[in-house]
Amino acid sequence: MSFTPLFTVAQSAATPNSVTITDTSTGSDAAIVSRRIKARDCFGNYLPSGSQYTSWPLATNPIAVDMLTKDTAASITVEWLDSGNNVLYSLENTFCLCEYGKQFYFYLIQQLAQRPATLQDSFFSANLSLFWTYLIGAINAISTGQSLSGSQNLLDLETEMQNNQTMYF
Amino acid sequence: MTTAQAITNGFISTHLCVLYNKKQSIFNGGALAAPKSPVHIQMVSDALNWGYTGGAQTDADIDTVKNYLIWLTGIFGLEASASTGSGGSVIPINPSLTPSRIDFIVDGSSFIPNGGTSKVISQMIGYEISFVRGGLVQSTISTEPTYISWNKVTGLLTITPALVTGELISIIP
Repeated sequence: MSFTPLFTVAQSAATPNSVTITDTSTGSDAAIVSRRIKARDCFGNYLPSGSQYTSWPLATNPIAVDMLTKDTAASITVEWLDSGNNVLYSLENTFCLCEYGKQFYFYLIQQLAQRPATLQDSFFSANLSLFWTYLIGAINAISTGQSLSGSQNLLDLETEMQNNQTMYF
Repeated sequence: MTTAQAITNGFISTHLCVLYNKKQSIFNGGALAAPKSPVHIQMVSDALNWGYTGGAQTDADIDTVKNYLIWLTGIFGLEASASTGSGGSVIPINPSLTPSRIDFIVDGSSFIPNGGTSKVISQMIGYEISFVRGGLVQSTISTEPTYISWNKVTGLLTITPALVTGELISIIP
């Protein structure tokens, strides 16, 4: 049966720095002896910083990779290699990895739920809406626009609000 | 209501709220006194969805936001529940459970034999009955010459006066 490369990516909400990649390929190819992951941000920088790829042993599936320090629009490529390290199969996909923002946003709504009248604070509610818009926009930029840079621009805006939350909320 | 149902109802409530705000009425009634914000409903639904599916939040924190969303969606959440089937259900009564009528002519071995004045009819417990004696429906008025009493909880039927051989009897639930 011919080999069809496939993989899924999931980011942990509890530890957003960690990204779990699962090989869901179908079929087989006896020539495949190793596998590796190449992840890059919208500027072409490798993730995690300093390493061009992460080796992914065939016996390990899924694999958790510590690659993020903030919300990132990432391009992730998995390559299946032969004994000479030649790439036999390669598959690239783009992902909006924004669990830092999602969980911070949940925290904001949780604070609002405890004091619903806070919504009357136009400063708070306007920034809350902005934060939500940045997140949704970043997700949509990848899912419908396939735009790494567009997504990252929005993620940077919400990250700035996270890092300076006392100014905004 | 489960958290997953609350999230689904929240997403559905967003468009319901938009439509009702646009019509400025609810359920074809009067104008909305205080229109809600569909954007805010969507924002809270997203937060609960991300917090719940992420699995990193405590149950108490999830419940806080869930209850807020249920309160926020209000009437729209109720309508959403109806459309998703998460608003409860009523089990219909099975009509085949109605017991059959009993007809007999009194003799020494009939359903209620000659001289009989009482009978427990268990299959008719829970039902009202009509007791027809010689073509006449009997009442429960004890000042009349003939009458019955019927306890639909225990199924005990008492007959006054006692049945006599040859009488045609019908008991109809």
